[in-house]
Amino acid sequence: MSVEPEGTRALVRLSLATAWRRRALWVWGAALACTHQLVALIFDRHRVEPEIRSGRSWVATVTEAYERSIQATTLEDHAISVLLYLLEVWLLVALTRAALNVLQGRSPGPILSSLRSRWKAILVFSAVFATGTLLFDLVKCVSARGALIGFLLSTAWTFSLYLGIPVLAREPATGLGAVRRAWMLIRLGWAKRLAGLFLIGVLSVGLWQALALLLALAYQFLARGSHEVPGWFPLYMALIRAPFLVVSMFFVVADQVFDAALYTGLTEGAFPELPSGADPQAVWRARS
Amino acid sequence: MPVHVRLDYGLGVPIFRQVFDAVAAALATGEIQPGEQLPTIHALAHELDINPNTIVRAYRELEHAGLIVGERGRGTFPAERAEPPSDRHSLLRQIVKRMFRECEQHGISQAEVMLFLRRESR
Repeated sequence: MSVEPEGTRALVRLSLATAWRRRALWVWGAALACTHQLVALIFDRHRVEPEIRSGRSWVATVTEAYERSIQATTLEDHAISVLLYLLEVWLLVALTRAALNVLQGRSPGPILSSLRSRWKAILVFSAVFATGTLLFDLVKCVSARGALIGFLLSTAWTFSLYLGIPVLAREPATGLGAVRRAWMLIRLGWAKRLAGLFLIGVLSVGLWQALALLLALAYQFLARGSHEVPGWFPLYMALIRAPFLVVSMFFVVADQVFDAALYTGLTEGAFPELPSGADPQAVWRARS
Repeated sequence: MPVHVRLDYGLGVPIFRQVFDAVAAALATGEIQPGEQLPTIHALAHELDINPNTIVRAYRELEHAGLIVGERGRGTFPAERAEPPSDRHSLLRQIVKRMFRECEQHGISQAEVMLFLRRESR
């Protein structure tokens, strides 16, 4: 007896359909998208744009700008980002708990009361996650090669802990227990997770690009082709954050529903089905 | 509810298999009496906080093993309708329980024993 096979595309369809139909999940998605924006704002303050000089390769140009950005980042920035990591993990667990409820055919909540006893495990898991991430950030500062190695290690580290979030949301595991379970589950489902990440990523980037093109055309139309920067430009730039936030929120929810569905399949041996699928009780009775 | 399932996520055994084992054991030890209805898909899924499809899969495997049967419009029941238990039954129950305990000590699950007995009795 093994896990029933299920295609990654079916899981992605399930994730997108669930994220679209169950708007109650968007509250958590919005909170997560805002947290991501905050982290980006902290690190973007120190971003150094590459200086293009003749006779120098683009790799050297980008690396120099990156190293200067890292050096400009203060200890306070890292401390704030660690606190935001903790908040992010908590919000991810809350969203995943809600997604698991929805996939079981229930209402998403109440989430806060169900996670009240899980704060210690979430804290330990977040601390392990943040420690690893910071260590790999330090590796990135060593040299250009270190930046590449650090980036690869950091990506692998984050990927390996993805399925720890549904573990924290569902199982009575400790923080370290959730790390061990995450590694155990990712060994079973790494290919599906990677393919899902790629498919959802491609859709997300495609939608972002389409939205950016649409907003650029709208700007051209409003500015009537003028080369002068209009007075309303800062307001326009502030307003266009909203649609990007909505897209970001939707894909955060879809990604977490994917994790919840994959976790269900790997743990329980049967994958959830599309919300429009027939009632399992009716299916069982009909075949008897 | 006649089935008591204690899920262990750390075992690495799929949850549907754990449900299968628990129902098979409940049938073998007489916790579920002949003619007694098994819990519905939704009731068991809700109680265990798992996906209803997982219960469907466990029940499907139990049906394939010949341990339960679904009756249209009535529910799911043990496969063999036996007479009400007598003294002989309670003696047999004790023996079977002892056998299961011993098998578990040797790492053999109750479901494996059930399937083995079914094959051997043919």
